[in-house]
Amino acid sequence: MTAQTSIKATGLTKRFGDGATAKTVIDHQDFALHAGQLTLLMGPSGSGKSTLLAMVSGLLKPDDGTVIALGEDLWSLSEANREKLRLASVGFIFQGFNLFPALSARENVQTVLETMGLAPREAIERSIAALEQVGLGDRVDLLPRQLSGGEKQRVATARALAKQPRLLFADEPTSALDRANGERIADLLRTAAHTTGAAVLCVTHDPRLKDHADRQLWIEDGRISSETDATRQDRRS
Amino acid sequence: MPVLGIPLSLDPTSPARMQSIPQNLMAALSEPGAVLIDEADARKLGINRIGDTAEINRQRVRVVGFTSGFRSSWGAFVFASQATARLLGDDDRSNPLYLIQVKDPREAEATRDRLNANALEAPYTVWEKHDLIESSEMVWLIDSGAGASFGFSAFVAFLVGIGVTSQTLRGAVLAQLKELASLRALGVPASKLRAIVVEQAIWVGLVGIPVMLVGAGLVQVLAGALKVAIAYPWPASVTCCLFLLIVALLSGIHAVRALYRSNPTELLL
Repeated sequence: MTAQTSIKATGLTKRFGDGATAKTVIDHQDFALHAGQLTLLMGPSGSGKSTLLAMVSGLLKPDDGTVIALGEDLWSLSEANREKLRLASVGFIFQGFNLFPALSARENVQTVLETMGLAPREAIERSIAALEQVGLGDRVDLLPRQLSGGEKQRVATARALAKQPRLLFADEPTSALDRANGERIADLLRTAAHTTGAAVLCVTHDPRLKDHADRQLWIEDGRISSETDATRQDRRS
Repeated sequence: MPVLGIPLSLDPTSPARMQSIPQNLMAALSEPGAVLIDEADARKLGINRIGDTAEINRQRVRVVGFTSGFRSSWGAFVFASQATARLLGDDDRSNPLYLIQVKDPREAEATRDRLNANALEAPYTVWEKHDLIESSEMVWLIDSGAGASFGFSAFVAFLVGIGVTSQTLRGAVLAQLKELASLRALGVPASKLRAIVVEQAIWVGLVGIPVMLVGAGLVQVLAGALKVAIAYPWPASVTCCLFLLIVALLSGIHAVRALYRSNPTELLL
């Protein structure tokens, strides 16, 4: 089975700083992300993995290269159109959970859905469904401070999944979690990829997540140096 | 101590009667040399209790009762019957004031105009009751220094209110920069986030109104205990509520600027 390519980046380059202090973080790299797969992007600290994620997700403009995301040349779009694309098709999960402390789990999810233009009733139903999907069906009305770290990250995951995104980005989503909770998040990401056909990119330095990935990329010194594992199907066959 | 004498008609049917002074106190004024003073002014006049005596224009007077709510902003008001007032040397007839009651209130305006038309030779002016109240309020608010200093105090309070509220809202925005940035990453446009901040500010204002009303009520109770008469006419109260909302709105608009610090890229790098 050939996976459909959701993101195709070519010649991606990012430098930080000027003149003598300039540092090339990503140096003319090509990168592809496929629908229906959980892709792990691993590498040591400072290897440029988060920078790569920021560029292919439309948050950080590359100095050179192109990103074609869902058929759109991401960095040729206007800021407003890039925002629209993100709103319609992109989910994010961050290392910090970034939930509004005054809003319940459901309201944290619902806010984004309402911005997408869903009617309040539909937004509520979909928020609850997303929270049930991550195993928090009985905690929808709790505030973030009443939830454990693992539960908070599951709310953040629900917030990303409720959008039914075609692209899902996770940046170190398990680094603040214990093993069981970390694996649970990884499992949710893979299930989301397989059941919704979303292209999921998870940046991590957590080796425990390897077993959950369909595909692994290694990045070091700004170069995607190896694609260690083929897809799970390939491995099994 | 300078005092302002107010001669009263003791006739309950006279237009010059003072409705806010109880009838029994009015009756007590019929005794020659009897006066009323306000309870708020008693101490500065050296009066401790009913029955104390004092001197006005070298004439002995006796305090037969206390009014309330007539605190004077300078010396003190002294209420007396017209007979006592004459006794005390109320002989300044240069600017007499007359109260005229028109039998048919509907004729009041026409009567006023007719009298004013005749005022060419001897200069005088006739006001209707509400005109007099209004023009006297305007003199206090605009021509007197008290009104101007009150106005500027209110303006300073307005600016301080905006300053405090906007800093509070700004603090709230800054405390949630990461959460707001993650919404931006998810594609929620900055304009929507601005709207959320301004909406929060308006809610702060709306919640502030009942709080302000309770506060105003407490101030009134406190003022009452200190014998200071305070009234909240509804146009002034509505204006205050609007001011409060404007303070909240302007504060929200000012606090929105803190949003420009929310950059979703910073969540990653």
